[in-house]
Formats: sequence, structure tokens, C-alpha cells
Amino acid sequence: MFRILLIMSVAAAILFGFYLVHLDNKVTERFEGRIWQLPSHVYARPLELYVGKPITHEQMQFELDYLNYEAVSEMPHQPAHYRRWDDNYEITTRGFTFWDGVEKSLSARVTITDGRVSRMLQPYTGESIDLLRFDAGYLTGIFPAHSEDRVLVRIDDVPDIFIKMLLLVEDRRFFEHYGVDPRSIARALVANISSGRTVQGGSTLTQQLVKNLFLTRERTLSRKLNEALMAFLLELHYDKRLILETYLNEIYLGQDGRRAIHGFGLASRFYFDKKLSELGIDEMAILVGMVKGASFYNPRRQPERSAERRDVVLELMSEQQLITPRQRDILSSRPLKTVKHASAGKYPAFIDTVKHQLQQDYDSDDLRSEGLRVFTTLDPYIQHVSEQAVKTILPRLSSDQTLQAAAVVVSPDTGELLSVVGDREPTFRGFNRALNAERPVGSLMKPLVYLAALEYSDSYTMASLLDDTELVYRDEHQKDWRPQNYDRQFHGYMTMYEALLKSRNIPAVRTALDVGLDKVRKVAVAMGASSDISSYPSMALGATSMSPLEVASIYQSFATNGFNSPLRSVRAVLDRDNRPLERYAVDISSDVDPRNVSIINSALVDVTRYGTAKRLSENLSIQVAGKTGTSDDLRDSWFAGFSADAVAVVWTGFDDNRPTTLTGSSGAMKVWQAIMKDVAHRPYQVAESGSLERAWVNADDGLL
Amino acid sequence: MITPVIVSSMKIMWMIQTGSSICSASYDSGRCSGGRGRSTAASVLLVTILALFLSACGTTGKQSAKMDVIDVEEGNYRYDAWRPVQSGEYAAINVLLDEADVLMQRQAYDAAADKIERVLRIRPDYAAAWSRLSWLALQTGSPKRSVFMARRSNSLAQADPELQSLNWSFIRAASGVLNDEDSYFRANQKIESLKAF
Repeated sequence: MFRILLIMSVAAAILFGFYLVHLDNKVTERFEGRIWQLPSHVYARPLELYVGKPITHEQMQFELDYLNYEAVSEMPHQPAHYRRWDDNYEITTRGFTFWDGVEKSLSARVTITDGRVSRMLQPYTGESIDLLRFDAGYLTGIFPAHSEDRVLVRIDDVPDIFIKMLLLVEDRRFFEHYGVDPRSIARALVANISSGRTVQGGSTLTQQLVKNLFLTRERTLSRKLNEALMAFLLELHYDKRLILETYLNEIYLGQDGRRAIHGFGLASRFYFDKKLSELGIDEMAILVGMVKGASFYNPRRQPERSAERRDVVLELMSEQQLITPRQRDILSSRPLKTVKHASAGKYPAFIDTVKHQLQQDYDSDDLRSEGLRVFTTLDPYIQHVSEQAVKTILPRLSSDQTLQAAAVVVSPDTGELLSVVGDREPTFRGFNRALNAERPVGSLMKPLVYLAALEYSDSYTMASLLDDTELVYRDEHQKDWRPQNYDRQFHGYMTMYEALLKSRNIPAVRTALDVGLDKVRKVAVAMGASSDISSYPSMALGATSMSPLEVASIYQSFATNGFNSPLRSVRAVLDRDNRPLERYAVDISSDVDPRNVSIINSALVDVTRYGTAKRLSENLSIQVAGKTGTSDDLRDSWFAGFSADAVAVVWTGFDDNRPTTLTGSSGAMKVWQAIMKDVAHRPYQVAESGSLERAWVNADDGLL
Repeated sequence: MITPVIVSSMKIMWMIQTGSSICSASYDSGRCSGGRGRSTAASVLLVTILALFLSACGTTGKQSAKMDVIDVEEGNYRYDAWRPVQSGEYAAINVLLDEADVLMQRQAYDAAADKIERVLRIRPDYAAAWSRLSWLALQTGSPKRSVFMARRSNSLAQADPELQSLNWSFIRAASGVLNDEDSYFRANQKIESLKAF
């Protein structure tokens, strides 16, 4: 009997030994490999102010609010504080690490007059400031599958008082025990038995960490035993500081939509928009109090409970003489103040373009797990204006709530994407029409047809007479094609200029056939078109499908007289330690004669003054250039145009391709106008060239 | 085979000019070690290489012109055509371009390009900024991009023949690297015609 027992004991011990080895492997693998999958953090473009910069008070306020700068009544000494009086803003910016260096926190007095920065001074010395760069606003993260988000903190960067506070509340004997603290367990047991319910926990920080990293939340004996064993093994392998640091970065502290807030580093940003080292003691106490229950003590949703819990923490600190009773009283009397933080993931259409660009250099695993810092081109104010334009104008165009829209705004000279809207509900994370909806572009194609004529034929000028009479196109492989003008009428001969202004169909088709469809296609590609353009004559009327982004690429080339800049939404990428990984430089190419583009552009200006878009000249205060586009049966309404500082493309239509009642000018152009009214500051001027001259011609015969 | 000879010759010519030993890219204030004592040996070497080159290929105006180099005035790190515009609105631009010029001197080309791109976000039509990007593209081995940047600068510098001439010199150098003879000589002609201004 004794022998059997002995054999069984030895067998059990051996099995237990194997089990311990298994647990040990689990623990060390996680710690010695990558502990967390760190999401990429994506940032908007930083606002830069300089004397002369066009900016309204409305935009300035938007930018300050967007960056969660706090308005104060006195001189702002702390970063991210400002005060305003009349036209003046006294601001202390946040320091920030950019891809091109560190920008220190700076104090400035900025005066905005007549929609421009008129003066920038150092408030203390009165010296002028030439350039002021704000921190870049956080947009969103690209999360791992489990949607955890965190901002890593190093234990050396965590304030000493915070560590003491945390250990006081959660694990006073942290530096003395070996992962499990029998005294705490016993104390908790007594407290719970005497009160008849669970009032106290006996778990150490190490046990809590193990539970979060490896185990489930189920309250079973086996899970508790595993937790204890693994805590012990963790302590065996790793020093206390590493375990504590890991805990600081792992603890769950709330939810933001589908994003889980892990770690005190991110929590301090999320609730207070400050670094952990910048928090006040009362704010630290709020976060430490949340460890017991992040949802239960959420300072935004449960402010009273959160305040009570904070006061418990402060009381404990006072008892242990970490703070004086007087300090405790002052801190307890402070109102709970958290920042109004917009949900991450606000700009799904734009973020799509970011992922699209990054996926050329990074696989999606790296994007979700390597903790990259991605600096984008998004202009939050322009994005806001674009979204508002779509949301307010679309219901006025049609009561049908399935009418959809997409809008893209691009910087003409750098090709940077400033805003992208992919749905009539811009925050909706669904089909991104700006990137993925390829729709017939209609008359947006005509400027390319006439540009091809200027490029490839000496016999065409803007004064050339084009035939607007009935045309029958015959092809042995298909039935006859009889294109129609919009008004179903024919107007005889007219100049190329007039044909473009009035968007006549027949002259465009005749010109494309005469010049050669392959030439038109070549010019379209040179100007930024990427898709396969059909080789049928109907291509001249835009029976070729493109996405709004692709159209933006083409009209960006028009805006710069033929210098195409590949559109991009990312400027630079840093790794988790702020080391540069990738830089996406400005790039341009040109394969057309800028003078010919300039000629077409002069006509596109007149489209907005005398042509199909003439209402723009009445409603906008600056000169712009652009083109309306309407596809067959009014299924697609487009407008593409530009000022000197912005190119915008808008599309409206139904996803199921049924006819709308909208032309380019009665539909998309209205959204375009609403965007450009706020966004475009510099008028488009046709580039002067010594080799070009203006001349009056007779509209009837095209002669001087 | 011709291109390495040309590049070596370009370097040696630059050595003679500045009295320096091998320095890195021509964007340099001339602070290289070596002194003028080596220039005689370098001259001999250059003549030898030239002689070999000419005897192998025959002498034509085109081929000798390909041994051109972007000259930098000794002690300066800026081209005159890049002189700053002194006006209130350009203060921010001048600060950034000063920083960019210092970075170019240190051959921190990416960092310099970052500064210049910030300028373009303020004034996209600033021709001297595009001109700098053209020069940078040459230094970083992107001659095609250099040509486009120079052309962009020229399209914005209609009233500035000095800057246009500088840009055409970049185009000429890039065309040399690309072995595009037609473009090379067109650039030459443009430079000559702009001298009249």
C-alpha cells in the first residue's frame, strides 16, 4: 500500500513538474518575445502658423479644440493651454516628436486679422516668431485583431508618487512577496467572511498581470491555482521593475468604441489628454482608482463614483503620509475634469487611403502590431468642412436618403490628400466611394480630349471650329452609335473654346476620333489616370469609369499645368522608438506641354464664369477653374475643380446606378462650392508664359 | 564605361578647382582635407584620362560638353539664384530654407528635403524651393526627378532668368547622367540663350 502511494506520489510529482515546465514556457515566451501587439498610431498634419497664413477665427478655434487645448483666463504657462481676447490668442503649444525632429513647447501670441495671421510674438520678450508648429493631432490607431490600444511607458519615466500610490492601493508588499502574498490572501479572507461578501481582493499586482496576460476572468479554483503558479514563475524569472512596468502597460482602463484602453500611458491621454508624468495627484488617483473596475469607476460615465474612489485613494495616501491632510482636502475638493475625447476611428475613408499606401511597404501584421507612428497629410479642418458640406447639402439635393456622395480635397502642388469623404455619413465604416466607387466620369473627360488635340495636332487651337452636327459612328463590330448633346440639339460650328464651355458632346467625340483615341488615352494617363480607359469613342464623353481619387489625380495635374504628383496620404513613418522608417517625398512628373494645359485651364476658368458652372463665380469670392460632369441618364453627378491652394472632386449618385435628377452643376457642384468656400483662399490664376498670348477671335469663324 | 570616366573626371576637376582632396558631393563649403598640393598630380591625371577618352571616341562638341559639373563657388553653399526674398511674408520661408541649406551642407538630404517641403506647403509656387529639390534629387541619384523638379521651378520662374539658368544646369547634369544627349544639348542651348539676360 505504502509502495503504491509512493509510486502515485512520484508520478503526480513528475506530472506536476511537466505542467510547471509548460506554464514556465508560456510565461517566458510571452515576456521574452513580443509582449504586446502595439497598434500603429496615426496622426493628422500639424498646424503651422506664420505671418500671412490664411486662417479665420473659426478655424483657429477649431484647431485648438481639435487638439484639446484648454482655454484659461490667465497667461497660459502650461502646454496645451491658451487664452483668447479679441483677435489675439496666447498659446503654449505641446512639445511633440515629429518625423523630422522634436518640436519643443513654445509660448506665442498670435493675432488674426481679416482672415490672416497678422502678427506672431513671444509674449514675454515681444520678439517676433517666424513659424509656429503645433503638435499633430491623434487620429486613430490601426489595431491588432483584439483592438487593444496602448502607449508604452517606461518605468523610469513614471513619477515616483504614482508608483507609491499604485502599490499602496493595490499591492503594498509588492517588493517583498514572490508573486503571491499569503498575508494579503488571509487578510482578504477575513474581511470577506466577516462582511459576508467580497469586499477585498488578495491578488498581488503580479497575479493581476498574469490574469490579464494569460488567463480568463472566470473565478474558478483551477484558474486561481494557475494564476498563483504563473505569478510565482514570473517572479522567478524577471525582476520586480520589469513586472511592474509590464503591469503599468497592461492594465485595462476603459473602452472607446471598439478600442480597448490598456495601460496608464494611454489612459492618461485618453481621459486627461496629458502624459502620465504631467498628471496632477488627483488625476493620478482617479486612474489608480479605476484598477478596481474600469467601467464601474469610469470618470466620464460615473463621475460621482469615480470621485468617491479618488477620495478613498487620497485618504489612503494621507494615512501613509504620502500627502498631508491639507493636500488631501484640497485635492478631494477639486472637480472631476476629463477631456471630451472624440472616438478614435473618426475618418474611415481617409484611413483607408493610409492603409492602402502603407500596405505597399508594410504587411498588415506590422501595421497592427509594431507600434508604428504614422504621420499623415489629413487636414482636420478641411476634413470637417468637407464632411459638413456633404451632410448638409445632400439632403437638399434629394429627399431620397440613399443618394450617396464622395469628396476628395488635394493639395495641388504636393499631391497630399487633405480630406477624404467616402459616404454621405462620413463616419460610417463601410464602402469607401472615394477610393473604390468607379463610376462613369461624363464630361470630366472633355478637357483631356481637347488637351490631346493641342498636344498631338498642329491644326487645333482653342479657336478651331468644331462640328456640332449630327454624327453617326459606324463600326462593323457593333451597331451604329449616334451620340446626342445634352439638349438633344445640334448647333452647327463652334470654337473649341465654346464647345468646352458649354460641354457639347458631338464636338468632343469628333475631336477624339480625329486626334485618335489612343492619343486621348495617352494624355489621360500622363495626367494621372490609372485605370484602363475604354477604347471606344464613347470614351470622349466619359463612358469610362474612375474613382473620385483618380479624378482628383487628373485635376491635380491640371491645377499645376501638367505636373502630376502621385496622391499620397502619408508623409512619414517612425518606429515605436521614434526612429525614422519611411519618408514619402514629394514627387512630380510631366509628360505634356505645360503651355497646352495652361490653355485648357484658361477655358476651365471660363467654365466657372460663363459656362456650365457659372454660378460659382457668383457664389465664390475667388477665381477658380473646373468642370461639370454628368453621365448618361443623370446617373452620376460630378464636379472637379481647383483654386491655387486646393483641388476638390465631388461625386453624387446612387449605389445601384439608377438615375438621379442631378446634373454636375445641380448636384455635385453645390457640395463642391460649399467645401471650397471655406477651404480655398488663393485664387487660381492662369500661368503666364512668354510663348502664349491672348487674342480676340470671331466666334463664328474662329478667325482673328 | 564612358560614364564612370566622366564622373571620375568631374570629381578630379572639382578637386582642382577647390584645391581639395576627394570630398563628397559638390555641396560643400570646401572644407576638405588635402590642400592645394595635390592639384598638380590631379591635373596630370585628368589630362591623361581626357587623352584616353578623346582618342577612343573622337572629339566632338557633344561629348566634351558632357564632362560638365555643377560648380559651387568655393566658400559658398548657396547659389546666387537661391537668394532669399526679403519680405515679411517670407520670413518663415527664409528660416526653413536657411535650415535646409545648412542640412544640405551636412549632406543630410532627407532632412533638407523635409524643410523644403514645409516651404512648399506655405508657398507652393516658390520656384527656388523646387530648384533646391531638383538639386537634391541629383545628389540622391534621381536624375529624372531632378529634371521634373527643375522644369517645375522654371514654370514658376518666368521672370527670373538667373534661376532658370541654374535649373537648366541641373537639367543638363541630369541629362548627362541619363545619357540623354538631345536633352543635354537643349539644356546647353537654353543656358546660352539665357546668358543674354
